[in-house]
Amino acid sequence: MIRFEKVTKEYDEETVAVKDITFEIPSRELTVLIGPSGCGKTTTLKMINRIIRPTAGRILIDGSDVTEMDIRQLRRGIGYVIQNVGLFPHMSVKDNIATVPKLLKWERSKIDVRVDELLQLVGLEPKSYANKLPKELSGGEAQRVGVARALAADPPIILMDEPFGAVDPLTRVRLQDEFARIQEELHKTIVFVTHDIDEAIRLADKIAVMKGGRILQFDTPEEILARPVEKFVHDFMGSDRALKRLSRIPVLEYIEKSETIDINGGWEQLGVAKEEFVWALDDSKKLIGWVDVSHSSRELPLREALTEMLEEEILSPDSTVKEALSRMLESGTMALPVVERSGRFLGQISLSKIQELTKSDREEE
Amino acid sequence: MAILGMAIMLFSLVIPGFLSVKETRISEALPVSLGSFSIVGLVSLAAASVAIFFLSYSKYAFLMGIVAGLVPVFGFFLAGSHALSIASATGPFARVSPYTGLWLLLLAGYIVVFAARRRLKDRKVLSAFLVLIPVTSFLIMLGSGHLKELAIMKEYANRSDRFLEETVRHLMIAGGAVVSGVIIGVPLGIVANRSPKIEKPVFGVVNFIQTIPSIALFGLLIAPLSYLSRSLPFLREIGITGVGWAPAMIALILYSLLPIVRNTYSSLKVISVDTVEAARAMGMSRFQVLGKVEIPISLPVVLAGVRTAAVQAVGNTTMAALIGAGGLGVFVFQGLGQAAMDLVLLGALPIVALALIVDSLMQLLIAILTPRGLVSEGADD
Repeated sequence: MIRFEKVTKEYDEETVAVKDITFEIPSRELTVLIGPSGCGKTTTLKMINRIIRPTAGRILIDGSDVTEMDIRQLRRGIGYVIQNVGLFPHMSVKDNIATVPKLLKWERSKIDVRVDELLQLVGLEPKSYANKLPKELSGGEAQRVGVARALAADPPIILMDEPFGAVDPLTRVRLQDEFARIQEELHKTIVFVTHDIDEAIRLADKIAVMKGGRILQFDTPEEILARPVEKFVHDFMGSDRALKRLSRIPVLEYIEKSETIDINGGWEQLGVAKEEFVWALDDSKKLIGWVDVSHSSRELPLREALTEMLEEEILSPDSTVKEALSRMLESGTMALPVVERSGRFLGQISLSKIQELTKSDREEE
Repeated sequence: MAILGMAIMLFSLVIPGFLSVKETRISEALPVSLGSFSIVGLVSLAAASVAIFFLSYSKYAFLMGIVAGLVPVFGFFLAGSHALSIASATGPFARVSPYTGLWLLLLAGYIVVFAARRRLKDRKVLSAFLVLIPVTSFLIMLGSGHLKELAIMKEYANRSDRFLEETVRHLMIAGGAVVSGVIIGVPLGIVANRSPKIEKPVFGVVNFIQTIPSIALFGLLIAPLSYLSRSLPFLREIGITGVGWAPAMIALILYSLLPIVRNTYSSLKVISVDTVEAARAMGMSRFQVLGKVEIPISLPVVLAGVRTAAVQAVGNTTMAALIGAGGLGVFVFQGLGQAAMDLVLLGALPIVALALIVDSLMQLLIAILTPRGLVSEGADD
């Protein structure tokens, strides 16, 4: 846990970067500091590893004041990733990653093992990358090496200053996804600075929205999207904030039970149909399509009333509600089935359910 | 470019004047073609040209460079042989000198070696050997006495003590200027990088100095230095006067500043703020950041500046002879005064050789000190 207590940073009387902030960054979670440029987010980050010294107040890591810790000890226990990566151009990828382990005087064999392990973790083949030089890497690869370097000595805390800001949008999304996977595995305490709201929503467990050196709101992304405390936060989240919020919600939470029919049986399985169609399953409860249940189609054999589903019309449990909505709009349907990777049918998510969800938000506002 | 060199090489073999022969030191020079005294030499040099032609289309750039470098050395060997035979036939007054053909051969060899070095771009050590091997073999031949009947060596024989003395003096002046240039220039470059306020005047001054012709700068220093030396007796006692080594050294130091200051400045610009911040954030001490990050990254670029300064200083020291500082320029200006071209060459050739040797040695040093990741940034030709 990293605790800020009334922390202020003034460069001179007129330029105050951070004004009296107090908040707690939870352990083993990813906290995003977001805001427009000049809001103090980077200053806040850099005060944690004492790149910048606060003018007033205290910063405590697990109860001990950072200004009282040995600065080298402190910094070696905190991984650091910055926008332009800051790889050492005269060292190989391997030596770059091994920087902190070498400072900590690890044994050579231990360092070698660790470097291979880290390269694997960030998705770079150790054999072909260990001896490459920074200038031989693409922007995305360099950034992965930067992440590996920060993780090298397995520090409990990692500070990241717009780490994916300098790569192209496609690579950025891929890096974010991979990074989210790594975090799910390692559960580090991460403080992450960005000005990209989509990135924040994709990665954050908690978001601190900053402006003019103050924290305006500090909460989960869902809460901030649903209930922004003031106009600035509301505007900063963007006009599509309802959609953004849906992107944080997995469909799993909104699955409805719905009627199904065994394709190997007959029409008699259905009573009086409430809906216009039902999902058709096979013996092993796998989804194979849907069946129109109107009277005219009931005159046909069940198999002939079946419409098979396209792959893109089927959702997996970790799809987001935003994805579900988007696919419904594309395919022009009112509901989509949710199916496990194994093919087992779980239920459906419907447009009306999504509307209910957003309606309750509007009423709260 | 290797083809151009080869063409010049072949041309130099067939033109009428490969060497010149004079009956006495200052009588008229009569050109002699290579074929007229050594058919073997003609054939083997022609064969070498053909070999260069084919090698230039192969991947063996180093081999091509070695052959090309040894061609002029062999040319001088042939000239030396011819001079020996003429001396035994006509007595000690005849003078044999290199003429258009041999000079062209030297030029041709240089062009091909240059082409080979360009192709060896990333192999700095091999590239340095392309110069060091021919120069060394030439020096061995010189030491063996094979060239002693060439006119230039006769001039040398008359002045061998003086030659050694002036060579040492030449190196001392040039070397002293570069070392002082480093002592003054590196801190200036660092300061210029740290403070934009100082950057402008520093570069303004060093750039301006570079535009003053060396002879004018030597002259300009005479008046203030002789005034100082007259008014401050202790300066006089340590040998600082309006002429001699003091103004020469000062001028040469001033010239060496531009490349050193500029390269120090830009080597520090190359190190991004992010790199240094990353190093600090990983828990390196101020000292470790300097030793593990800043110096390794900037050193090759600083040394490249020193290399430029050193080569330039070896050349400019020639002019210092005009204000009584001595050095190999002494022979150049004496020779010019006496219209004795062989004496001019006795000064000029060693200067060129020294410049080439200093250049290659610096290149070698830079190649050794450059970390693998920075090969393209430092030490560029």
